[in-house]
Amino acid sequence: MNKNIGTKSVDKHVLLVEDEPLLIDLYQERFSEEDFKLEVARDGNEALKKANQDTDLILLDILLPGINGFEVLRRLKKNLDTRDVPVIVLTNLGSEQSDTDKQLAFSLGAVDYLVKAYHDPDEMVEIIKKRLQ
Amino acid sequence: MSSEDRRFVRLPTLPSWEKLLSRLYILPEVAFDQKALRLELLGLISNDSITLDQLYTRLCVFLPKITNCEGVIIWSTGQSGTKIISTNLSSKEALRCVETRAIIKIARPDHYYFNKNSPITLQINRKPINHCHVLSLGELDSRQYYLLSFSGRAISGEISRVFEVVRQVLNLRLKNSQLKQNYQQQGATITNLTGQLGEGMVMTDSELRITLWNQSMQKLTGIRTSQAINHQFEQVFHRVGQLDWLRTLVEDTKSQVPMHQFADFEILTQDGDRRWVSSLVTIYKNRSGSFEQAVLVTRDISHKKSLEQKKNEFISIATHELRTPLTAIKGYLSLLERKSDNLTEKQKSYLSQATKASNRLGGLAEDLLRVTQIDQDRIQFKPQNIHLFSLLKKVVRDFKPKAITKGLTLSLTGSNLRDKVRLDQVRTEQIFANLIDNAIKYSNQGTIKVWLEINEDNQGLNPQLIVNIRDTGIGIDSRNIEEIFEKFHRSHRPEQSREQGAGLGLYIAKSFVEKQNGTITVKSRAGKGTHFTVTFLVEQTKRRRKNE
Repeated sequence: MNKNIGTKSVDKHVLLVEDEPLLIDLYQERFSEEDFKLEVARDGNEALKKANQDTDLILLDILLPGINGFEVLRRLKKNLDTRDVPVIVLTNLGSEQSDTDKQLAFSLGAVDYLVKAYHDPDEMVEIIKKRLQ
Repeated sequence: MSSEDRRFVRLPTLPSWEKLLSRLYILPEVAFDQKALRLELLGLISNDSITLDQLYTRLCVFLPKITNCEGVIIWSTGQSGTKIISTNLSSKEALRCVETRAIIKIARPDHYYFNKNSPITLQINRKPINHCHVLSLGELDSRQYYLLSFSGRAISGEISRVFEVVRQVLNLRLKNSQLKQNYQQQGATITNLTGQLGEGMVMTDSELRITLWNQSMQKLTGIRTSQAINHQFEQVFHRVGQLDWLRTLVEDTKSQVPMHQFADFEILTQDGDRRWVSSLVTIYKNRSGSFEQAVLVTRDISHKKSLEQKKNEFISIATHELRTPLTAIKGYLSLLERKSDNLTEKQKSYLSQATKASNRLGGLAEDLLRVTQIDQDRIQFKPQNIHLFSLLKKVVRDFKPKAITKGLTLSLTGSNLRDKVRLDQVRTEQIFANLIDNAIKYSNQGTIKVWLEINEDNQGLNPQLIVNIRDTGIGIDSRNIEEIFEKFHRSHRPEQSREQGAGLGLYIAKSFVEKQNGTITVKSRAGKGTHFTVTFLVEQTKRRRKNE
């Protein structure tokens, strides 16, 4: 499913990799008010297909159907088109302090590790905007 | 009787033998160096590494040399008949001799017979024997032991002294053998009894040598009883891989009597399995305070441990799974709040209640997760130089609104100490957040004072940073003060039962303090308030460098 949210002139592309419909709806709802284009991938393979050199930021879940988020991250970093796209791991796994999952994410090239439950949609918008600047 | 003899039989110490032997008179007509003979006999009978059987054989050769007796027979009698133990004659001849009526008549237990002028006449090797001794040596295994010596010539009083010494020696040796046997029998009884126990049981002697290793212990560790008995405790336990604990045990044996110690530890069995065991060690000491025996009772708790692990895994997974719907609930509530202009006051209050409830649920899920991480030792601390006063300032600022809502004053005082201390920023914030949150929760009026101080020893060394959090709340009953740091502990006071929380805050705080080598203490009086003190050691080198 590939939606172009909003009618504003958008120049930034954000790819949300998420399989939970409740959260996809939530983020789409809130992000639609913002000045960037949101694309959604519902599993790892879709994420690898949709990510390209025009993507400005990827929000990547870890527990995904098929290939998991760590593997997606590894492949994104191997691909010349996508290796420079910043990836924020956005998961409900582990903790934002010190955690093995967080360490793994950083070692694979993630720029941040966020626990979804800790950040409401408004905060997510702030974080995304900061990254897009 | 074998070399095992040595372990159990302790003959009296040498001086007493010397005394005994000083009474030994060597016959003048025997042309041997008396001193050498004395020494040889001394060596023979005082050497407890020589078994009783060996001693008998040697005596049969030795006695004719230092006395004028011609033949020596050592034999035993019992239900299964007469048995020659040792002799310098042929066994056939010896047996015939001791089975003559005259000898049977005088061979009685606990009795020794010297027939200087006795009417007994014997023929040995077709030679008439007029003079003989029969010494009763004692009893072993329901058999009586005797020594017969004979001579064609008159047996002098001096010879009888020699035999008296020999008799005493052999009697003592025999008694020792008896004691040893009793000991082994008792040991066997204990082994049988303890073998039936489900618990593993180990006993050691005063030198930490294993004297008992029961069947359950064999099952638990895979080490056979025969591989453990008589071996050093440490050597055997080295094979099941737990030395730190053992070292503590040995060190602790120096303290009071008797001493108990509990410990859970993981062992590696001979089959390569890992098992968790729980042990109770009891140390026994004698009156003078020296270590006498250790008794170890060990139970296999692998099943319990695996259940505990499953429980932790379950909580961990459940918490992660809870996070997703919670994220959605909190997210949609926040969307609703953005558009709350169109809501009525009542709807707004519903919204705020729902938000509060979802925050509480979220906090609970995170606490549970943290506790399982603590229990599984999965939390990594990243110490960095932090400025404790600034950290406290931040936490106090975060909690000010909550305190004000309850009508409480929350203040941070004390000098702005610039000392830095190596701690994990996030975990340390959590410690003080939990303590301050707790103070607010259990206070209905008054003030919560937080202050930082520094403490040094007399030489101005080993500085410690001490954080105090004192409230004027309901306090803690002295009966419950020990329990407050336990998991899921809640105030017992009915008026406080409506307070929210799962009783994890103080448990988490204490774990985080101790994981960072700090200490936490509490003083409290019911109705007066509670005073928590958290102490961290400032790293000496850092401080000195700063002062230079």
